[in-house]
Formats: sequence, structure tokens, C-alpha cells
Amino acid sequence: MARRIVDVAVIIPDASPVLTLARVGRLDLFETFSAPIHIVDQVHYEITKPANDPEGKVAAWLRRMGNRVAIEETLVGLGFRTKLERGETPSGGNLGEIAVNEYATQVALRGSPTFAPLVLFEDPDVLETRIARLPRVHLLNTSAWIRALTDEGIIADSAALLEAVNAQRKSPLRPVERSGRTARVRSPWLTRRRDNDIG
Amino acid sequence: MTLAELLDKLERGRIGHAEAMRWLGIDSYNELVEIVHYNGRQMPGHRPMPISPETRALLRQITRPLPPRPQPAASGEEDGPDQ
Repeated sequence: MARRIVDVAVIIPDASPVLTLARVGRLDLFETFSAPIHIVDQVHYEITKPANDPEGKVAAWLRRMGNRVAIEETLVGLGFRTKLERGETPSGGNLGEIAVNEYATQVALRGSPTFAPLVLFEDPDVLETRIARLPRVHLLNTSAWIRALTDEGIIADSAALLEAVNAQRKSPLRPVERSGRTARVRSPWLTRRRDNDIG
Repeated sequence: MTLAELLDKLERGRIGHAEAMRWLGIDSYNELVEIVHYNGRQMPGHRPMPISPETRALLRQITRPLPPRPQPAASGEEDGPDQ
């Protein structure tokens, strides 16, 4: 039987992975992805606003990445930007999470049946959102990603990098990963140990 | 003392488990071992926590080698030239 092609994209539903790597000067790690990176518009706003990107590192990184990063428009983000353009000062509050839920709903309803999202996150609240319950979703936080990149020989300095990350945190960043599972999409990384899902 | 400094001292045996656990605000030795390993350090005689084969296989599929890092610009930008 012919194997179906797995369509993988990296989704960043949380500003933290980008801001963390920007703070330690390692945004270049995102360039290791050959799959497209999707960032919801409200998260894009969060990672590029001057308070979070005072030196413009994230903005420069986004320009370098070009079309390898897709900014996913949501009605939540559009409404927020409209209010800003009107001169209002809306609270950003939980809009990032609401926008990500809207995007996750779009993916769930209209996404390809072979789409396998790799969600890169840090905020544990992401694990409770709809994006963490998408079919075939694979979740990985920044720490686990760094460890896995080292295991694969992509980077050699994970211990030093994790130290640099943790030196700026009050609590250690612990690796979190959750493997995707599926009965329909045949892929070595999806079909092995399907009983190991913790979601 | 930062977490990195704490882990370094613990790994080198300059502080004990009890002091590290007090600093971290934990009361479980297992949790201490987990934190140490998760942060790329090792307790004497322990092996690093492995990343699951599924995760490694996925990353192999969608990851390519990192291009050589450009030298930091004189302006201090660490992520390479803005091109």
C-alpha cells in the first residue's frame, strides 16, 4: 500500500520560545526547520512589540526568515489591530490564547487530513488549549527541542544553551513533549508507541 | 545564585543535595534528579534523560543542519546580519 505524505508544519502558539531564544541570541535555531513555521497574528504582535523586542532582534529574524514564517491572520488579531489603528489602547490580556484557539479551530475544521502539526511552546497553559488537542499534534517545549536537536547532532552546545536560558529564569525550563498519534497517517514517528500518548 | 550556578556547583559536588533542594524549594530527591538531568547536567553515575524516539524521528524529518553562524556584528547583534 502506498504511504501517504505527511504534511508537517511547526506552529508557535506562544511568544515565549521566540523571546527566550532572542534573549540568548539563538534565533538562528529556527533556521534548522525545513518545514514552514506558522505564527498566529496576535502572537506575532506580542513578539515584535517594542517592550518585548527592544533591540529589534525578533523583527530582524522575521525579515531573514522571509516566507519560511507564515503569519496566520485571525479575527481576534484583526480586531485588536483595528482598535490600535483607531487610537484605542485595548488590553492584550488573553487575546493571544483566544487567537490561537481560533486558529486551531480553523485547522481542525479545514485542515488537510494528513496535516501533522508540531507545536513549539513554553507556557504550560498551551497544553490545555484546543491546539494541543488537534489530531496528530506533536507537542514540544523549547527545552525538549534543544535537547532533541543535540541528540540529532544539529547543535553541540545544549547544556550551555540551557544554562544561558535558565540563567534568565526564576524556575528551570523543563522539557515537555507529547508524541502525536494517528491511525490513518503512516509515518514512523507517528505510528510507533501509540499507546504512549498522555493526552 | 542562579539556577545555572546551582547546577554547576551540584554537579561538581561543591554543594549537597539537601542545599540544592532547599534552594529549589523542593522536597523530593527524584525531582532534584529530574531537574538536574532536564537541564543537561548529570548526577554522578546517572545517564541523561532521553528524548523519545518519536520526537527524534520527527525532527530528523523536518530539520536540516544549521548554517554556519556569522560573526557577531560590531553593533552587538548576536543573530547575524539583517539581510
